[in-house]
Amino acid sequence: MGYILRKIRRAKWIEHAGIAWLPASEIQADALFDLRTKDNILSVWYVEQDQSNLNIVIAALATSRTERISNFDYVLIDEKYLDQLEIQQLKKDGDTPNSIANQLWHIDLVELTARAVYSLAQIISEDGLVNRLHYKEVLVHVQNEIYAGNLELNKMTEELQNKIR
Amino acid sequence: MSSIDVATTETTISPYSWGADYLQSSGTVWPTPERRELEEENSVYTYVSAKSTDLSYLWSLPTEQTQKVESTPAIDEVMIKIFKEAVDEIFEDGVKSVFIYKLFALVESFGIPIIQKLMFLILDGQINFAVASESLRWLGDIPYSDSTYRVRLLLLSKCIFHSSPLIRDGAILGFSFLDDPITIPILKEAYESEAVPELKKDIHKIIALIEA
Repeated sequence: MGYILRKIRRAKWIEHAGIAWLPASEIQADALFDLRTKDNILSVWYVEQDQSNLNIVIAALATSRTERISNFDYVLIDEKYLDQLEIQQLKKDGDTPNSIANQLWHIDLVELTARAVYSLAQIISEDGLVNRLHYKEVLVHVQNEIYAGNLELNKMTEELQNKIR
Repeated sequence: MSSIDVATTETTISPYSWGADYLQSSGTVWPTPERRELEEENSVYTYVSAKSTDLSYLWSLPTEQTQKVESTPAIDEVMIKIFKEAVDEIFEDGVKSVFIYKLFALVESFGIPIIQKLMFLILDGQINFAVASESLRWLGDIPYSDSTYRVRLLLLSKCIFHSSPLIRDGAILGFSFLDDPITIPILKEAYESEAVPELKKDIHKIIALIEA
């Protein structure tokens, strides 16, 4: 059993986010936006139990459709929750500059109901490992992956390519 | 804090011109503590120059841009328009939104008055906090040589003590992109006063990364 990674905006998942009406231990509804689906599908990434591929996945996502290397906010939830919620997983290639990561670790969560998405939000809130890497940390992972030949520059935005070169 | 001659902007935009509905929908707590202080002190200039945080070291940076620059009604109008439009945008880390493209274009064209106007809008609580936070994240990423550097530094230095954690989060990330050792004293002060554990941890990490 490994983890499921989803890129999020951490500020929305902080309890007591400075919103006067928000009860303690509640998460604001805007956080659900980080779990937005398309055709009832949610794109996530598989992270090994020992998190050995975590930095590779982060580097892939941090260079996908971005104009700069930025901070990277993400959450990891235990894969067991997908079974508990009876969420169907479909292995499908991702769309990042790392073609190996795309093939190995990208997953679509399919046929999602509103209740399932809400349950995922609850799990993230209660048991998710929410973390932030700052841009300098992300940059190290990106550089490592470029040196390893795992990131294809021509699959990045032109602006990011110019910054990296 | 006696000799700061940095430009700050008086504005002709009424905070009420956006309407209570907008402020409510944006999650803005009105009036914000910063707004109350503004009203008490009766001017943005007084507010910016008289806050307790000692930013005097910031002014040793080389720049010719120290004279007071007035914002114009045209700039005010454009700024408010792009901030209103941005409320419906999706922001994603590292992805330059339409809002950011527009904001950067304004900064490139008009320079300091845009940052001053942004400072007023944020401290006055007139704009959606999520949009304000997004602008702060990106303002740290303009090259150091840019003439707006000092005013951006001042803006981030004010916003890192804002009452909203969302604004503080944006300012913290803005500082991380500046990556400038000159900001360490202000980050240390912010670390001492920060109440949200996640943000406190962030500030600690950024100080370490800058010092590394």
